[in-house]
Amino acid sequence: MLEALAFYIFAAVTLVSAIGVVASRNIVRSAVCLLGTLGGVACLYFLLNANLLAAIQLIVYAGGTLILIVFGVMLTSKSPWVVFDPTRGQVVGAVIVSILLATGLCMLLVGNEWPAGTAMTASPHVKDVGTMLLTDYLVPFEAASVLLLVVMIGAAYLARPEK
Amino acid sequence: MTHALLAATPLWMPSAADLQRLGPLWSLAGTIVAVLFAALLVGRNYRVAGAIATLGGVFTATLCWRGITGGAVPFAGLAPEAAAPMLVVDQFSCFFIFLISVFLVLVTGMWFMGLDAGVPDEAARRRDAVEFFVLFVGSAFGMALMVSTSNLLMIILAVESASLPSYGLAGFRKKHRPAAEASLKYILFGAVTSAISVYGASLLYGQFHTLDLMKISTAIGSQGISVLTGVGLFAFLIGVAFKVSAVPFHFWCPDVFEGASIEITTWLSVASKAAGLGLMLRIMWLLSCTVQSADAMRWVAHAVAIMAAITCTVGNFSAFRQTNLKRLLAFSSIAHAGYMLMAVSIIWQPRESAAGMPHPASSAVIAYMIVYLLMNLAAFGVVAMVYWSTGRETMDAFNGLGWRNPLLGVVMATCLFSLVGLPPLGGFITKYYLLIALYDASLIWLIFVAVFNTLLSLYYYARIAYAMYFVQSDEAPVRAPAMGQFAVLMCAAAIVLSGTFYAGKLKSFSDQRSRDMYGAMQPTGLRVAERPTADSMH
Amino acid sequence: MGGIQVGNLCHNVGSAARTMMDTMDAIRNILADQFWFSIVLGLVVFGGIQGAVAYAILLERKISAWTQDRYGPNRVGPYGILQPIADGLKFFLKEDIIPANVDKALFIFAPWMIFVVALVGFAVIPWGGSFKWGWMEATAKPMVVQVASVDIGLLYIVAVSSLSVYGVVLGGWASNNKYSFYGAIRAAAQMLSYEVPMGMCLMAAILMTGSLRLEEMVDWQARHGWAVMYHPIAALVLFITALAEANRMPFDLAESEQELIGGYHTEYSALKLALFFLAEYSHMITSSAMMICIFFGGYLVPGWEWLNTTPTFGAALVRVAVFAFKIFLFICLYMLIRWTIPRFRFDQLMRLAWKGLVPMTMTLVAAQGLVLYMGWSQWTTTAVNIGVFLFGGFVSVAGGKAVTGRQLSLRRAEAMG
Repeated sequence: MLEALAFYIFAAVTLVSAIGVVASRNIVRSAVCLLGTLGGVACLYFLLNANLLAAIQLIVYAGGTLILIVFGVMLTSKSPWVVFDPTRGQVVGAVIVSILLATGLCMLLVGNEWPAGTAMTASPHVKDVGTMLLTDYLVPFEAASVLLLVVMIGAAYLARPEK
Repeated sequence: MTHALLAATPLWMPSAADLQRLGPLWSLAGTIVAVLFAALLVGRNYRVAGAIATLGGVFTATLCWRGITGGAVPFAGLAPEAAAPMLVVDQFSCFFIFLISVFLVLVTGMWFMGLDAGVPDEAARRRDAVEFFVLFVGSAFGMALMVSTSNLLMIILAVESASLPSYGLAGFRKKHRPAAEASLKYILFGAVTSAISVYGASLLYGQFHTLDLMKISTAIGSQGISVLTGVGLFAFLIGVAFKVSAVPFHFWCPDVFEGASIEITTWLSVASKAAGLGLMLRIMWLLSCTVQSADAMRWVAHAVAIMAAITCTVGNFSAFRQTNLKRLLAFSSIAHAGYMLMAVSIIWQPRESAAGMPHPASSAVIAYMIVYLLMNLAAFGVVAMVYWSTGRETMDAFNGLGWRNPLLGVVMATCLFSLVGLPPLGGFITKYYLLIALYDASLIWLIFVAVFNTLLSLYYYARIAYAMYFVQSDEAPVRAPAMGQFAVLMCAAAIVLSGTFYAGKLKSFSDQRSRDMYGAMQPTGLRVAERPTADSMH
Repeated sequence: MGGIQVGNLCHNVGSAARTMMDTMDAIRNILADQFWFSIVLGLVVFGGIQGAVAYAILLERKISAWTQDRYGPNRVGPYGILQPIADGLKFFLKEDIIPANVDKALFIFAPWMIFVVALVGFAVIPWGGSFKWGWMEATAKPMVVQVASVDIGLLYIVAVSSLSVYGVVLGGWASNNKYSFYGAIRAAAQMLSYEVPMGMCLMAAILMTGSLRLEEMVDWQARHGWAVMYHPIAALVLFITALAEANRMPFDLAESEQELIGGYHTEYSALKLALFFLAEYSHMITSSAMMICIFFGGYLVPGWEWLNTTPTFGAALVRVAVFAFKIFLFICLYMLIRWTIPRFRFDQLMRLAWKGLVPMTMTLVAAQGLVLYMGWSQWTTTAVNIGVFLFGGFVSVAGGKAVTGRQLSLRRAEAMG
């Protein structure tokens, strides 16, 4: 009962702020709404007993990625009064397409019989996640580290001021 | 002091033999680190960086060649027994990594030649060589990963690690506005497609509770393919289609080819497509590896065929109006991706006596890939040399090229007619294999599309040839580095030879590779003549 | 008649006593239930911290006065101890100005955001170990003096504190004022940069104690001694990053008065301004509590083993008091630093983080990992810490590239001129 209530609250937060991301005309406000979406999803993870995932969601997305987005947006846009100005045609088109896509996907997702997974009753220990990362998922882990190394060099190159 | 963390179960470690089989991947990853460390030791030295990249490429190619021909044991693994294999290094991946690393060496050579031939931003190039080669080898590493995995998670990671360095490479000329624009378009497009791709992978995971393509395939075989599976599969394949620049995920291609410096354009036109096609082949093959799942995959394969046809046609039609050679070759490469995708679309076709036989579709792709590599290298090489000499990449720089530099003219003409697929050249013979394979698979409509497209493409390729020989120009002769002329001449010779004397050799080589691949990817007797029961698949 | 009345009276008294007994029982049951206890504790902690913050501000004014040889506030109440109440009233009663050209929604949202974020971090702090009420059975599960005991304790604090930058950034942005905006940008860059060495320090501690739970970290220290002995430099760096995360001197570039008037809160007034200050001081308390739990033994006192092992409510109260005293010492340290050390320049700040703290702490994490893997004595890391410190000092002295060196651009200008 309490869990269902919490679920609906968090889901509502996620959805409403997701709509806010799209509907807002000011790009900084969009980013702030995105914060609500990411936070709502993190709360859903908490509800599902995936504490570590929730914390990572907050640290990586809300605390890392999104702040960079906000940072970039603030450095590039001039003032709070610069807004998107989509034409009516664009809005109508976007709404129609997204409604179609959303209904299609929802029908598919709801209509499908999903194989039952094993429900997590207790939160998996962080240690178990770590062990998984270094055994079953060792290769992706290492591949990601090579990727990050290369990308870091590239980013540093692009960001470096020209002498 | 016993420690809480060490008290856990002993960690799994891959065996040394397993690690050794991953040689090509180690070698590429090691090259990245070596370039960086060398920069730490000797400072910003472009020669050292380039030499290390070349050495790494040669070494990787050697390892792969041994993997291809040495009858290496097909290897699927690097994960604990219970888990799905994360990396698959077999003859198939060795072949593609071989192509990629050979191309890496060749493009590095092109980069060095450009320095001496006087590219405009020469000083900046020398200074930033270390970053350039790190990104360059990094993207090669990502492409190598793409062709050596059969796991959804690894595929996504691999596509990302091929793409992200490429974004940097596309925008490497920081002062060049078109390069920045190209890079931005590339990033935006790549980000959207990879988001869709990850979404598709999540749908697949939700349905099958596994990330392993083999297991997904057996599940598809036993349950049939639902609409949701189809949607998931398509969404997932979009990420790969982006790498091969299949229509409608090709929009980045012309802009990036135009904006990036010419070595990068060459690199992306071949390596990115080779890796993407390799991955596509493996995905389609693994997903249809049981008889039942092959039946179920028919619809997906048909969709790929339609996409191939559209890709071809759109590529060729768009090339009509282009005057920038790099842009024109971009559309040409889209069209060629379409031809190769046609072969991918028939890989599902069950062939009962498949055990020791080559699959015509994969031999066609391999032969096509080899010749395509040569054609593109030579064509871009000529464009590069004309650019270094005249500073232009547009069609009018080619006016009278046949008289201003006869050798380059001949080479370019050979490449162009081979790209069209005219008889005595390599392009013809590989296209012929492709059509035969399509005919075997009784996709007659696709043959018509392919032939129609060949006719279309004749127009714009011939337009360049016309400009080279029949348009008068009183511009100075094109001066090109001797090494470069020699290299493109070799490529042209190889194209001619592969179309004439060595056509049989090309055929038998690619058949052999295809047979190896087939043996390698043959998942423990699943696709034998008698149909396996659903139980035996789990 | 009378008898009946007396009887009724007796009955009433009896039932009243019974209801009182029942109520007592109910209260006892509630207090013995961890869920309700956590809620009560949460309310108590919330109130306590608000009070503490009010007095921390007074303390700051007093300490600044003492540092500068002044009296400080001493008019409201004896020694000025009622000053916080007066300050609070003043903040409430001032006119709340919302300037005309601000992004109104975000302007209002920002201070609340930073305030809430600064408060929720307290949930995982173990204030006083565990205890049992006198009426609880011997076999019952002991009560934990902690609002929420989750597996990811430390990560939770990191996650929440990484959100605090939004308040600053959005406040600065929404004000539509160049000074505010500069402050916000500086704050964002600074907080992101200093999160990296902070994470590294925490990693060293996590590796050493083998847990992300703060209460287990404290337990570990009960067995092995305070962690600061094994990682003195990590503790120091963590303190430095805590200063930077709280935007305190010498890292208060986000609000440096001389250049930016007030930085991100230039346009704020009244209650909203107060919220920014409340958040800053709450942040100081949280980060002190975190550092104490990780490196300074939490509620432990060396030599008082009975304190940690006694499971009574009284002992728990003593533990909480010890913890609070340690926090008090840390707050005093924060304030002394604020009034003694001058502010960094922005390039120095970045250089300190990326070229100084990050490599140092990375070395520490690597050393800690090696010690674990090889099974060496934990004291090895102490040696490594001292080594790192000496090496860093050597590099900055001998290399001539001190953190506080001249700005590169200035040097070039000098060379040209």
